[in-house]
Amino acid sequence: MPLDNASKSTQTASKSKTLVEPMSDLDLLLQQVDDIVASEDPGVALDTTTGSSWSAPRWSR
Amino acid sequence: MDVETISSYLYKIKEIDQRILAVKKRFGQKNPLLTLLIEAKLLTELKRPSLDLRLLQSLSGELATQLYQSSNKFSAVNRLKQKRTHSLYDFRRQDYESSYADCWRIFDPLVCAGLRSLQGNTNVYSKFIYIIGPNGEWRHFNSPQPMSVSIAGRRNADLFPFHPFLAKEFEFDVSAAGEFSLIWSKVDEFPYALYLNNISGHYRPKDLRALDLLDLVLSTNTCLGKTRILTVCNESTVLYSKANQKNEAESN
Repeated sequence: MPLDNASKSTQTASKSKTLVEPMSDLDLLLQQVDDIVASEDPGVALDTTTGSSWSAPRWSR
Repeated sequence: MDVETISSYLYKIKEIDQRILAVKKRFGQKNPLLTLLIEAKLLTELKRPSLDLRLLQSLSGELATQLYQSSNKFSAVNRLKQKRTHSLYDFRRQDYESSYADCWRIFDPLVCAGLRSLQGNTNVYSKFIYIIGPNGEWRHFNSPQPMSVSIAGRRNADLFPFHPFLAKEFEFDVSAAGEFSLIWSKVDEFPYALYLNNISGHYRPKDLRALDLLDLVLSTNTCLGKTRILTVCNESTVLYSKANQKNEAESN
């Protein structure tokens, strides 16, 4: 089978599986990551200067 | 019980590793997405029937670098040798009154005590926020935070319940504050695995050590007899497992 057809076949099988079976918790998380990585504008919320939501400032006193 | 088979585990690790590469390429070596993925990899490892301590050590070190910008000392224990003392962390009432008091009625009905209400939760990748009160009172919200919050941070009190909402009954004093996730089947009497950190933008319990948090968790929940517990705090990580008889080391 040509590579392209094999690839399409795999994709179709994958989509069919998605339609039949609910996504696992990890699959759902990875899908969201994929969407953000693929997005042209991931948004200002994705702060690349920090590794976590520690970016929410400690209450100023 | 969602016990990992080797093939399932390898598939998940491969999928996560692919995303880690993609995220690093797109956003660099430090960003919330990367943190989330390293955490997911760590939790996937925690679900395995046979633990790989070396890998857990490596992953917790990576996570500490992302979360706390620190190196991380890893220890595995199967019992606590002595009762530890704990500091309290405070949040000013006047800050709460001025900014969050209006939201309290939204979130107060969502506060739960103890872990029992989470029996049946099998999604280890979703995280709940929690506090432990001055006398060991365990409080958390009844639903996990969405992934978008992990990525974007927590800036809107109308949409996301902050830690101080959990601590109102304790005059906003806490012994610990952070996030946790767990796997607990409906039929087992104790959770299979529990992961906790000390991430709280409001309390920032930065001097809380992983062994201190483990002690607090064990002393405030009676349903954790054989639960694998992984605590990640600042510069230390502790894995607690009754089955882990070969590892007697305690963290410093």
